Amino acid sequence: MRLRWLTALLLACGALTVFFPFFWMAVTSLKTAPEIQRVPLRIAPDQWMNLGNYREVFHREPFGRYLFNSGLIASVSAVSSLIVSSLAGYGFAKFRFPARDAFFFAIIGILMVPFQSVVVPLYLWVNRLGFLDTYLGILAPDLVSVFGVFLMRQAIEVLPNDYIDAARIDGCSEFRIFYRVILPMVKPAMATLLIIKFMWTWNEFFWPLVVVNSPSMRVVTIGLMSFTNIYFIEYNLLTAAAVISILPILVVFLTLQKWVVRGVVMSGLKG
Amino acid sequence: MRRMTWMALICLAGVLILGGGADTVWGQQKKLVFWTMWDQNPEFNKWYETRGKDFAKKTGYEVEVVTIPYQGYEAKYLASFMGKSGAPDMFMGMTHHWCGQYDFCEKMPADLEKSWDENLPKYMLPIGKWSGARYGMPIEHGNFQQMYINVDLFKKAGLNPDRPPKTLDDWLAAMKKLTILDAKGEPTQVGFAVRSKGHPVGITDKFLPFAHAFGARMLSPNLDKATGFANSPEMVAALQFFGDLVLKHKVASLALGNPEDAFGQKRAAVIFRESWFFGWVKKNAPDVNFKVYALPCGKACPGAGALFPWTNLVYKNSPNKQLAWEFYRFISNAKDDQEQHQLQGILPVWTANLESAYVKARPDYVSTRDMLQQPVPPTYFHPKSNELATAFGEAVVGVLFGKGQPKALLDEAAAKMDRIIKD
Repeated sequence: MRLRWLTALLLACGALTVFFPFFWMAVTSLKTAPEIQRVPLRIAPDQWMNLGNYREVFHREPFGRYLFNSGLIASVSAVSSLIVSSLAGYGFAKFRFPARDAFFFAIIGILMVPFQSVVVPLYLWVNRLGFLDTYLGILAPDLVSVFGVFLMRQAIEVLPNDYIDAARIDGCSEFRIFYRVILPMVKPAMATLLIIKFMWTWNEFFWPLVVVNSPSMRVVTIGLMSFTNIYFIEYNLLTAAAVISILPILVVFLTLQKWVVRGVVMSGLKG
Repeated sequence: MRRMTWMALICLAGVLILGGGADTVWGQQKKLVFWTMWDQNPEFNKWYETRGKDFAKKTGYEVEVVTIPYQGYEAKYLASFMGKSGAPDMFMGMTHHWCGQYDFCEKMPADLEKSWDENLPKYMLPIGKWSGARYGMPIEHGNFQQMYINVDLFKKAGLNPDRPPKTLDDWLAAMKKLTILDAKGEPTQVGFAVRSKGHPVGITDKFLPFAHAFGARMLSPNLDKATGFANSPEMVAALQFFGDLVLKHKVASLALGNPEDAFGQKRAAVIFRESWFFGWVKKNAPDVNFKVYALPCGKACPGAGALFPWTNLVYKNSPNKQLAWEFYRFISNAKDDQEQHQLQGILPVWTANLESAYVKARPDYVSTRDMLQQPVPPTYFHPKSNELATAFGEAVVGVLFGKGQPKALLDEAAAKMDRIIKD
């Protein structure tokens, strides 16, 4: 009984530690700039209904558009990565072809290359294709996912070959086997990849910054940076913008919480 | 259901293919594109577009301003300049980086160069130049540190806020009076708000006025050597003095965090910051009663020096570079200089405007004038100034955090800086 209480207490402390920064961010977004500077520090804002910072965020930046752009790009990249990764993962897991393992490890090796080192050549390619300042340009490096290929290969590899053999005997085409037999059995992995890729793309800053010029093409992460500059950070506006920017992720998380947890367990990564 | 899915996918593909095309700046023949990362100055930036409309009446070319977030702007600049066709016609940056370290700038036409050289304050003359030639138009005056004091804390400590300390000795004595220690001997209020965290380049920038006041300089006059300069006896003495503020005299504290916040929260009575800072105080800490003065002098006076000399430049591969210079020529006059800077509430650049009614009404008018009367300090407009300042700043941080003695850390930094210069 005592142990249970202790465990509960520890869990509560952990939960509070995780929750507090978000709470702090939310209450700061309701404070004016002088309130943030005030000493001694007060947690509660002077007015709980002070939404001035939120109004200012939308007045200063087209944040609605940023949310739309981020949502669109994150969704498309998640779906595209899912399709490509599932197909590649199936190929690597269940087909034998020359240098299969070499190809696979070459692809996995890409994970070790820092993105910063390829950004200039990538930019030159995107420029040559005429995709600068377009959704396709932002999406280009995110349409496929090396991590996804790895995840799907691991998930598919453990499936018994008997299912595939049975389907072949019944005259099923290779694509139909993939679509009707394999995919239904790796739904948890698919959901995991979908969620993780969505979150990663949503949080991406560097590539969109490089490839985008027009304000209307910017994504949420670039919008957030508008409230910091060479000299100072506008904490009241930055926190308001941050609250707005995490809401969609929060909705995705709360809706698909079960899958997110499973995803973290499967991938060994933080979401 | 399946039909709906297909419809949705087709719509999505349409958005992806068509989306973003409408606002694309590339390929528009009638626009000069200007990139800046001064996102703290939206009115200043917008002014280029406003004036661009007048320019268009003459030439048919308007100006489009793209404001890029400061975080990561260098990567964006670099990628686009290398990509050529995706790059702007005009951009803001540091001349010694973009024209020195890289070769992305077009030299300024002689007539324009003459005009700028004749109209800049003396300390700004090297700003915008590389290898003796002018590439850039300096756009920021007052980008040197001045002394902001909290009037009320000065009075409370028995100091006269109208007679600020003029020498480093007097300044240190005042800092001691302004510091309040608790029972454990830790400061609850400090005299000086010291910068100890963040990027080492920024820390170097904040330390350099002390170094210059001690007669030290970070690099040799022709910027080809650090040893003997970055670790000179004067520099060691300056860093000893700086470190003692925290470790010995306790008139500055590392525990107070961000120095601007400490000043705004009345936990620090003095801060050294640039001209922009009074706007920040008015907005974030309106109840702080402050005054601005010239920095105190030691063996020498720190003078008006900047580690980050921002300029407007022209991209050398721009197909519109002649027009870009034409636009710069169009706005290179005292009236436009005053109008653009006043719109944003920052100091104009042209000498003719330094005595204007607008400047005289500013709280930093006298301090700026006094700083300009001090001798011009050394400049460090080396192509690798960021790397050099980083290596140097690490020594400053080391001393502030008690990780070593100034001499040893500066020797190490100087050797590292020499390697950077050689590489």
